[in-house]
Amino acid sequence: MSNEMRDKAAIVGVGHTKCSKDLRKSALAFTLDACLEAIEDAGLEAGDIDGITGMGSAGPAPSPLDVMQGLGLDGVNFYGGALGGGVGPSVAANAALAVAGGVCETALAFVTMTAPRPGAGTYNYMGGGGATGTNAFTTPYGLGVFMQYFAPWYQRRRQLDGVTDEQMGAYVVAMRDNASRNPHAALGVPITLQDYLTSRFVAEPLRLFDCDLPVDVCGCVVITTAERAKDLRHQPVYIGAVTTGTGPKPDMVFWHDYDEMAFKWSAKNLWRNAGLGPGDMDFAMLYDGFAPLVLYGLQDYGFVPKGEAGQFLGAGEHLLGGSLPLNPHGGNNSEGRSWAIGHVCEATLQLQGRAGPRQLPDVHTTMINGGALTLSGALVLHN
Amino acid sequence: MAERPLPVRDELNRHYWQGAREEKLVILRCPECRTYIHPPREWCPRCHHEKPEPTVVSGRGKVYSWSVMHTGGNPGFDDKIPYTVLVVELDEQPNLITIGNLLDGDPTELTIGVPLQVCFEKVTDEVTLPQWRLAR
Repeated sequence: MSNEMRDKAAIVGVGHTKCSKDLRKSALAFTLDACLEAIEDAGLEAGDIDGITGMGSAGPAPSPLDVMQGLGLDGVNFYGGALGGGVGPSVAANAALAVAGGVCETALAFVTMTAPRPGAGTYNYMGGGGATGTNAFTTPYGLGVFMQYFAPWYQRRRQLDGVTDEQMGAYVVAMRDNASRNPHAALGVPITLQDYLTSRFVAEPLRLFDCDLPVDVCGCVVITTAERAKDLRHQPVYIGAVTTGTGPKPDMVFWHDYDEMAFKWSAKNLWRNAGLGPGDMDFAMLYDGFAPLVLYGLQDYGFVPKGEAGQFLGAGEHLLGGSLPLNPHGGNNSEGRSWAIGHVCEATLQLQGRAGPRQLPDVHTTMINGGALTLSGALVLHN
Repeated sequence: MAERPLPVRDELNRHYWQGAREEKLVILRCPECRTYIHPPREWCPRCHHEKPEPTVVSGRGKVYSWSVMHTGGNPGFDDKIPYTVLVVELDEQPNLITIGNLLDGDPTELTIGVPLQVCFEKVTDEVTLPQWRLAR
């Protein structure tokens, strides 16, 4: 365990396309839009980039090397995907570690997602390669779509902890409201609790409105050294700690304990390495590709005692005026499916005081988590 | 409509599917530390013993969790909606999980801990799937 990377890297620029059912250009083209926006936002030029980490949904999503060539770079000193399973936080974690370790100086970290379209691949269905490996024990039973993996976990939170539709509805209603102040959001029209309660089941007890909307989107941040960050356009957002982690049986539905996710393993060293704890966070950016994932985010990272996340939501503690505001941009739940890169972008804007009508007052420290089930990655950020 | 996927048999899972054809639930077990291992692994994840052995188990389990599925996306299941996927904790060992469908019974009767009994669904001449019903 080490805190040697603490505050050695900082986020200095943000780029983010709209979340749209169709951005009407290629995935590479809109990825380059977001990357160039982030570089310009930082006050840098493309030639300053010497590291690229990124990934995206299967199909047309570009690779880091596609982006490198698209930007016209002569080469990079570091490239790669996400560390561990947290996607958005984990591409940023990879870039941050490379920058903090001196492998490169200034890196892009992006995630590109594409809305379903002909020929776009089927990343939602896990059994595409046939019923082999662990899929031999799942897809013959009609269990092959990721949300179906998660539904039985949520079922246990309801059965064992008494989580209710009203509590989850309070979360989703708040996300739609937050998204109404986010110009990138796909679902920015407020809904009522009744709308949530009448939304259809997709995999009981998971409802349609619990699920994020698959969209075209790229989110990108620029990460550089703390020294270089001081001279750039915006207030640096320092990366206090990064983590990925998982437990002893990372086989998705065969995980050994549905009462905690891989988040629990990420949390073990996150707080120690940051020198902070959950009580130090002014707000939290919890991944909510399925809304009830925030139950696990709240519990596994220690924001609430085990079994009390539903009550936390029911009491409105997640609202902008609550004890721990969550996802002021509307989360993936209402902004659109971005595997939590939207959370990374929003956390940065909030800590720079640039979140416009969504800006939380007097915020200095936050954490971001990504992943689900056996997958995890997280960051602690501060200004 | 795409066909329901059938398990691709290999060296590691052959015991399970062969057992199912004989209407037995067969799970790997470490002969050294006696840990049951599912899904199958080449080594015991607890003591690293290299030859886990196929073992006939009781066929009794409990509901660990479940979901009634209302959406498509799984080849061969669109005409079965709604169908129930069970996460079954086998009686042999805590957190020893297997997946199946509720073949007989009302999903509204499900709750965590409800006892289940294995049954077998012959899908083709070659493939029989272990499945589950409420134990009476």
